[in-house]
Amino acid sequence: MTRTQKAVSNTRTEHGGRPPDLHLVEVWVDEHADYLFRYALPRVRDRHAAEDVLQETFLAALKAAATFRGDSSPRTWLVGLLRRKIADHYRKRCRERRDESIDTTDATIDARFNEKGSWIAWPRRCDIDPAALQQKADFWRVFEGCLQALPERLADAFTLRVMDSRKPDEVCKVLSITPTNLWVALHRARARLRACLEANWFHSDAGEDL
Amino acid sequence: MLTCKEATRLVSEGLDRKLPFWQRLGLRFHVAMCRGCSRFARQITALNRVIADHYGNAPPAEVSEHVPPDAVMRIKSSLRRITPRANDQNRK
Repeated sequence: MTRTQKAVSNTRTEHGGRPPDLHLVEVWVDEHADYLFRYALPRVRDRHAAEDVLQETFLAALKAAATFRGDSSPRTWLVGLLRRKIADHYRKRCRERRDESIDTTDATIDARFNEKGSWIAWPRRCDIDPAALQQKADFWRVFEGCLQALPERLADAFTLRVMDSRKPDEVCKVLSITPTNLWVALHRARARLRACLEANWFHSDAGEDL
Repeated sequence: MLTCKEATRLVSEGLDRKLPFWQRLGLRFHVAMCRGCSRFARQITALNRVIADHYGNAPPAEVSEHVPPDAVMRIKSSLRRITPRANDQNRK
């Protein structure tokens, strides 16, 4: 029996007969579940998967409640647990789809280039102003739609590397792919997302490109 | 000489790792000469940053997603299930 399990079972009963750790985590569920759900949803891109990941997170929180010292806020601590559970979710998905490899060629992206490898049509002009974009809820809705439309493995790689800013070698480990595969996946994800945003969100004030 | 197709791949790769010196040089030269690739490079670099910032911060308040009540119930009952003492209390 681990130290934390012992801590849980040794606790005196309070709060209407419930052990304090359980009471604490139940309060956290009430206070932080929505926040954690919003955090998880764009990352796992599926409501049921987000609920499962949330449940795993709170179970982990209960098992480890004795180690929570309050140096950080409960929310920060819970987000740390959640990030680990999201990585586990990717790992599991990856084991289930081992056969699904990352192709080096991608017809969607290649269609933008001629046989000599030059642009058929340049990317449309769009000046991206980071500060202004943060405030635009419609941009993020379009972006999450584009992310959802990506092949799953590309979206997973992009989420871990870019949205979560995890280090490349960590992403490789989670997805069990080689660095070369990761560069390919990320390039494909970025090029497809850019093209999707170009089609659905860029407002070209140039009118035409030539 | 790099093609545009190769250049776009290297632009992306350059966001994830430091490219070897000669590759970096060739890429910089190509992007400086090519309007299509310079747009591509500017856009994906800016997107990369703005997306990392957006999701690195707290989920925005205007996203009003809530955990469905039945999921909250499920989570709470799973918590009680693994808590030995509470087991007797909550089982009907």
